[in-house]
Amino acid sequence: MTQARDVILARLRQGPQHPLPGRGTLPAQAAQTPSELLAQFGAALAGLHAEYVRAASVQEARAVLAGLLAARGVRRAACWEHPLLQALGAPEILTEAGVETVAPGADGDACRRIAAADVGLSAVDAALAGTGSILLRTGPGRPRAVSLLPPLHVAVVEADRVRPGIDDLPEIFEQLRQETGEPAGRLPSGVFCVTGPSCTADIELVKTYGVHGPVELVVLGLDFTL
Amino acid sequence: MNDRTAFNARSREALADTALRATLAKATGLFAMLRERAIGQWPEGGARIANAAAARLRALHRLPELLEAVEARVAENGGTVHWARDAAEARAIVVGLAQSRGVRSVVKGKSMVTEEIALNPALEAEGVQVFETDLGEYIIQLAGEPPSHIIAPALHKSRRDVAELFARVLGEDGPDDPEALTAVARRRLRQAFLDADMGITGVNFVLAENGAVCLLENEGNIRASTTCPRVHVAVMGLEKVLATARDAADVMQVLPKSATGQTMPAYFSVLSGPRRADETDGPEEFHLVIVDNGRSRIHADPVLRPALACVRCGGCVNSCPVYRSIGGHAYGATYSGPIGILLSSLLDGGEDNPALPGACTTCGACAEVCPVGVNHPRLILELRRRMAEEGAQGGVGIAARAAARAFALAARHPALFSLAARGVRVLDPELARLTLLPPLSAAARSRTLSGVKRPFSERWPELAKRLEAAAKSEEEQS
Repeated sequence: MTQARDVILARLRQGPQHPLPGRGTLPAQAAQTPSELLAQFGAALAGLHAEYVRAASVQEARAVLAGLLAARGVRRAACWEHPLLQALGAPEILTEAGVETVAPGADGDACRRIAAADVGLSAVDAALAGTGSILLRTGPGRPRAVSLLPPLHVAVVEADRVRPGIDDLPEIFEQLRQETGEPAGRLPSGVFCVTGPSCTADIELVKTYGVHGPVELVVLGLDFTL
Repeated sequence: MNDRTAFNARSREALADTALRATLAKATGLFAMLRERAIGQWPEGGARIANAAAARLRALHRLPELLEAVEARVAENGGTVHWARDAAEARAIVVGLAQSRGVRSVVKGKSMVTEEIALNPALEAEGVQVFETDLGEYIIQLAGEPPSHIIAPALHKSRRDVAELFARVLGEDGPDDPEALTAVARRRLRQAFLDADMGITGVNFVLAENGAVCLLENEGNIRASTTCPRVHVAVMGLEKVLATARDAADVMQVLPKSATGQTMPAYFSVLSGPRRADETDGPEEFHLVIVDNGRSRIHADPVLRPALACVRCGGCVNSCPVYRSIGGHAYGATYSGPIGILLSSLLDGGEDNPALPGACTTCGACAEVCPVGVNHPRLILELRRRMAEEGAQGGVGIAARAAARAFALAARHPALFSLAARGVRVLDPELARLTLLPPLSAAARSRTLSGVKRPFSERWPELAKRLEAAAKSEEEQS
């Protein structure tokens, strides 16, 4: 085992030395307000076979959530324990709609339970305006399967979480590390950048949605400060 | 032995298969068009490719140091790193993990390196059930075939073929529209994810600064394979390292665009070890298997190292007139297309594929689309030069010796070499008659080669003189 390691590393060290090529800089983008970034994010998302809904107030956001549950006939939900969802009153909205909330449990059977839900509810740690991507990190009360196994994934994003694009990923990773109190050089166990619903084109290149992940992705954009 | 006779026989068969050729034309044309729209016409495209290429080369030039950092960071994240010198060691590591953890079933994300090391048969031989979970891979696993394309492994199957396959193997009778067929796979594999003890994936890249394994996909099967089972094993070629998240962002700017025309894939997962104590899902154990299998030899090579920069987008494959004509299976190796010629020749066992370096017209369409700046024709010419040299030493014949002499000459004169890689047309009057077309018409261009009247071997003595003269004037100028 160590032998293989040492042999491989020794072989690699024998390779020729080359100067390291540098990185070119690209022209900086004009700064945008959180509202503008959120609007750009929504437009990008809408082009991805996903639904974007903007809410200008808590009341509107609550109405959108309640409306979604009713329209999709949701009976069981898997919901992150997240301050943003608490602040919106998501648990009360679910109870009022007569929706059963699935508890993942710590016995190793969380996936099976979450897979039985009709909807997964999460809150977004960061979003990319240019690509319509949302980023979700793991942590207590934030099972990975919530954004993956139910057929519908509903995610809530605050305007000030939206960054311009892919170039911002390093800063986002650093922000998530700091928010979770991880030491330098260590990210949360999982960071998932989600861009649209699960899809494939493996049969005759016909785009088909909902292969293994959600068939439907709805993102609720909060264009106000809580 | 995958020699010229075998390669030619498979190529002839593929060329006679009109249905296959129609599928290939449609698929490669579509991917090439999507890629062209996303990156070819992107004003920043060139600068972005330069940054991604630099990120990859920096990683290759610092590889031993970065791999040690990966090992340390993965351990800090609670995972374990394993090293495999060759395919057999890699298989033994994964099979050993499966046995010691009492694994009965495995769900797999699409991974070329696990094809390369022939992992599935090794697991199955030990009684472990293996489910390929990428839809394309699932289809070809049911059919008992190898993948035919790096991105779309079941490219060669029609909806009719898939419906018949599902009916025959799964007893699932239903309509043959892609949506219904996809729903069948979802239902079947959902159960497999929930029941599996181990998830096995490849690695798009691992970051040396934090040990995070990055995985790109559209279906969600890789996420499910790394969320539901209690053990996650990621298998990577030792070159799949990037130093920092900044480098990863630079590669992410070009990789999905080159592969499928997407700005981002549906899922880009950044995984740092097993689940933490306060989390309710995700693997309890994480293992990273680092596979050499000939890569350290490529790394040590003064000319060929850049072949390891490849990020497996499939762009070169879609652009290649040879691939577009014969498809992936005709190559008779794990990797096909221009990058496949290089990897299949250079990885362990490469000597069994002597015909592959010939499967290139040196048209350069691949180098033009590569998002990390790999100059495939240049590297393939180097392969041919070396083979010819070996052939010449073994006394293989006048043509081979002449070719060896020419390639050796070109190799001694870098400017001349890059000239040759850009287009032998400059030096070869018969090839110069061919019209230069944009890369999307590369296949059409290759057909006009029929306008060349005499074989290369006959034209060679004359060309050799021109090459010598050009080299001389090059030297005088410098």
